[in-house]
Amino acid sequence: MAKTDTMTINMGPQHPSTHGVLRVILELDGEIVVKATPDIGFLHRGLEKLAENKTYHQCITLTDRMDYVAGMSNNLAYVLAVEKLIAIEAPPRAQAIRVLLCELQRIASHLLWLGTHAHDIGAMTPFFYAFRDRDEILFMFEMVCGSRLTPSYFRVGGLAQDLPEEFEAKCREFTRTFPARVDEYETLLTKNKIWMRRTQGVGAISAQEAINWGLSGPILRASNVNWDLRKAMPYCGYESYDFIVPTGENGDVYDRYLVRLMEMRQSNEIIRQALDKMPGGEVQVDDPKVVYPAKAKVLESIEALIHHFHIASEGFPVPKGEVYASVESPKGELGFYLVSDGSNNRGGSGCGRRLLST
Amino acid sequence: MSALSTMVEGRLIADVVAIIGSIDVVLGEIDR
Repeated sequence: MAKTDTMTINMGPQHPSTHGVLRVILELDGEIVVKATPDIGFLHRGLEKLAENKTYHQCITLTDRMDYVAGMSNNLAYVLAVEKLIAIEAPPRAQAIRVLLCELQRIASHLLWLGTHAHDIGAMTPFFYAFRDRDEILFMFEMVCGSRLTPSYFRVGGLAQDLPEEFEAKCREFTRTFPARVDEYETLLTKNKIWMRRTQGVGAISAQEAINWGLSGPILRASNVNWDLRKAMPYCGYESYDFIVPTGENGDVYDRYLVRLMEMRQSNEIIRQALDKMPGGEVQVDDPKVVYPAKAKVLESIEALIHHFHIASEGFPVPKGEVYASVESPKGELGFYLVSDGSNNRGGSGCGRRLLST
Repeated sequence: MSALSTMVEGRLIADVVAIIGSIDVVLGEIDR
């Protein structure tokens, strides 16, 4: 008589296709999965606890280490929450630059996803294409703030500094060439029979299920739910950009692929618009109690140096209160919930993501 | 991540790879 026991195996925590240290305990009946139990926490760093003993500015650097392939978006969600708490708003130029960089970041994040996801399924070439183009974006980030992965370029009240002069030409060149690059990825995958058979009908989730699970981002939209915070609750002036929110129909792996590809095209469009109508003016609010003095001044004036030291060591005053602010990050809704006890050095926060809540 | 089991149960083990990939997870932010 055939033996019919199920077999339990570990997938991960060090498995390349779990994209990080994730362990999934799989109970198998032959090759069929009977039960899958994700085991998380291998990358636990206790960000909320760390944030309790830092000033609000210092916490910015913690946030881009959460989703470390979309640092800009994480920084943005956090600084928006702090700005809400102290009731200030960054000037128009800073808002437009934030939108521009976050859309570049969305493309970079989706490209990393595309390359690794296709590679998992057995296609090597898209990986090289995606990383080639992602690198152009990381190069621009390096131009802007000296860092490719963990920018910490946004500040409470604006930006660390204005864009460098050579940025615009480089970015325009990117937006000009990028649509043809997406066409290239599509020729490799969209009508590829192996790709279609590996992804169509796989992991399908209905609109109702997706909502009930509290999913957000491209996964939710692939299940044909039109929900995007950039449209639903615009921030940083997203309401003034002309773009559409792509949705899928079947909520399977294939539709998630299509949605992300379309999102990259839309992001490219938003970047182009941001470049075209980039407002002039300052990139920080005029509030010396909150924003750091310009670096050039710090290097030559003792008053500016004291001012810098004061903000760096003591932070800035915040009222008591609780706020929540969220953005549409490449992977879905990312929000920060800040609780302030009224002291300067408690960036105490809870961060949540609906897509990945456990 | 909590929806993962619903998506993979009843499917082939090879699909688990495709499905995890399609979620686009970054574990750095799933520490909670």
